[in-house]
Amino acid sequence: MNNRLRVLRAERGWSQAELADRLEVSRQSVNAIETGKYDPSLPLAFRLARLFSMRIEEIFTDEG
Amino acid sequence: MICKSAAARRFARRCRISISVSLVLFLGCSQLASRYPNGMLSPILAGLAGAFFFAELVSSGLLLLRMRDEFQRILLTRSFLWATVITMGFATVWGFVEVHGHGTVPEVPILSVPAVLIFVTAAAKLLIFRKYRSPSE
Repeated sequence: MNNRLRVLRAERGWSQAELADRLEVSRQSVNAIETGKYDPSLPLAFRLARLFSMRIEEIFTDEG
Repeated sequence: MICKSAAARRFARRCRISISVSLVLFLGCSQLASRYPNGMLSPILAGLAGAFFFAELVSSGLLLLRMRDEFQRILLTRSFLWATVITMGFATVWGFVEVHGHGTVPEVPILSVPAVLIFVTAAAKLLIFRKYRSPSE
């Protein structure tokens, strides 16, 4: 799964640590999601979508 | 690493207590068991010596249940699984050679398996968390 997390975060001028704080997860998790090493669960994907005021499919896209 | 969340801090505190108490109990029970061999006291002493190892396993389970960070929970689960696979695999192979190898390997007391499991878990956790650490962390 691809995602636009890094771009969206950069647009808001947030660091990985700042985004991690807002999501209440570790910076390690944010980095893993951004680099595609980890696909978040649906609840975390919803939290991300709410944070960026977007729909989940606008942040995450299916590779296939 | 995982030491920031409240659940992880509680786990670290529980671990410190259970490791210290189990070490003291283990040494005490070993002393008592050697003084009173084959007595009725043996099962009670064995239970006491093992109780805090089980406490450690329970606190690991509680940590997994209460961790909010799902990615770290996955890494921790992976560490526990690797440690279990390595320890049990090693113990099985060693045990087989011990039984059928006619003295090719020294006899290792089965009591050392929990200690090996704890050591391998710590090593696996270190390696797996290091593999996924963020840059400049």
